[in-house]
Amino acid sequence: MLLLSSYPAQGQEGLTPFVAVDMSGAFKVDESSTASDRFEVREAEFSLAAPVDHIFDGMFSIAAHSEGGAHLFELHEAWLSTTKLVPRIQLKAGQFFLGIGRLNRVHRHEWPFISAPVVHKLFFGDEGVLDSGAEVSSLLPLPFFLELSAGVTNGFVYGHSHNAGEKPRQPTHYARLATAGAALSSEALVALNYLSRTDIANERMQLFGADFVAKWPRGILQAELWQRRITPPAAKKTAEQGAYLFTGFNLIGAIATGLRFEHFSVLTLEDAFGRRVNNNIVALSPQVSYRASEFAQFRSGVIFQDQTQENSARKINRTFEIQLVYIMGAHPAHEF
Amino acid sequence: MSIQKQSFNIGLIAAAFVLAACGVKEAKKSNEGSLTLNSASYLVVESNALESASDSISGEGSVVFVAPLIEDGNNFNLKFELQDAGSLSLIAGSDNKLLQGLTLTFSRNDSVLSFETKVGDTASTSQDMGGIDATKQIAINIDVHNDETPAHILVWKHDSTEELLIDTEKSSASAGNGQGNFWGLALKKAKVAVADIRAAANEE
Repeated sequence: MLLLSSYPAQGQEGLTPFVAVDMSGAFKVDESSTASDRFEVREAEFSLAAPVDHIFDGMFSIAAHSEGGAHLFELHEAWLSTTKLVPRIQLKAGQFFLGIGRLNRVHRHEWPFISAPVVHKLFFGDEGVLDSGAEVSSLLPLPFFLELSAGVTNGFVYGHSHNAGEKPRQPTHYARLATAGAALSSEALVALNYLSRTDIANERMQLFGADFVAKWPRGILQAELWQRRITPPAAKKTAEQGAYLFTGFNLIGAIATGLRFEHFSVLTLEDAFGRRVNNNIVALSPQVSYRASEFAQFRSGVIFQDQTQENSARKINRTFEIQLVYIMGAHPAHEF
Repeated sequence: MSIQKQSFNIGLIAAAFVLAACGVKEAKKSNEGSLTLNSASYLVVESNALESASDSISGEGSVVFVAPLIEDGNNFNLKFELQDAGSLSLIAGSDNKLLQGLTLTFSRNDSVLSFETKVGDTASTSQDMGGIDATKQIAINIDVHNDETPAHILVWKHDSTEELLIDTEKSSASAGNGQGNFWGLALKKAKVAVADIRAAANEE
């Protein structure tokens, strides 16, 4: 059965602990690559999920990331949710990954590829955007599936931060409209997304995006398209746009292949003379994976990235990546 | 659905992406009026006694590089010499007049090199950089991650990431973030031989 909600289903059997370990390595294929040439534990996550009482479900997770070579645990997610207070409405409050897009709603060890596409890295960070606040999600009373979600979070910071930030003029707020169903012999989900935040310096950031995923018994097709607009108080507006398309196909048994194509461009880039500068980042990333079970998999791939910018030297980055993921315990149901 | 039909659909979507990606034509523009350092074009923003050669910039003044920054995380490779009481500032994430940027200043006092950062009126505490003899040519490699708050700065000795000299996550020596997408240099009794930019070396 597909789980289309952004909430992991929790069993009625009580406390569900699990550990997910994500190990990865990035290695230079040529000298211009910025890979670290290091294999390490990228993330080790310990989670507890359980019904709190007859109305609420709770989720708590801590994750260790490498910070300057040392692995430090920090609070990842901690939230309370319910579907039982109001019919057709899901409510969530606490700290969580913002419920927009595809990758931002899924923990990194569940991504279908090893590292974030350029557009995700630049707009959401290496993993995703976490914040504290509340999110409401409603399954609209229509003859087809249409889910509307909206959330408001503190917005003191956005993305990776090492301080508490400052109170924004407008907190981070976002909305997502998703529909799902059968199409082209697959189960597919498509959604439109919007996010905005105005920081203390009165700089407004807006994100517009669409995400799509379709699954066949032996394959997956996943794509996201995002545009970010930044309006500073006393400077020109900027606009950046990027997209990725990933297709994965199960070859035989536990062996699968995948290919990701991505593109990114700053639409309003100007040089110091104030002239428009054409620029493109294009990358192609083939991969192969061995999935022994739902709980253990090995993946390797190569990123071929080509960055061109008018009147600047072309940058080519080739990186070999490997990843090993294992999960111990009862992992909640995966997102569709 | 057959694998053939599935492949066709995937191919159509991929083709659309490729067309979108290749829509922008590349064309060369001349940088008339600009100077170059190691083939990177720059404009003089302020000059008191700035001397420009193809392999160095020296004296007193400031320059902004013509090519804008695309990414918020960048690596800067610098080789420079300072006279006593001289300084070199790297201004990252500024506008094309070197305003609203994050300024990293390396100052010489006898043989000691010190480091501080500044954004507007907010300045970090100055700290000495042990392991560098400021009387000789200084070669450092700097990561500025302007996508973190405040910007995360890492400074390594030489053009490598072997010997870390400064990590602002540990010393709290980052004054904030740059608001623009240009970078440049401000010199005072300084001579710069190399100023290169690359993708950030460290993504943590």
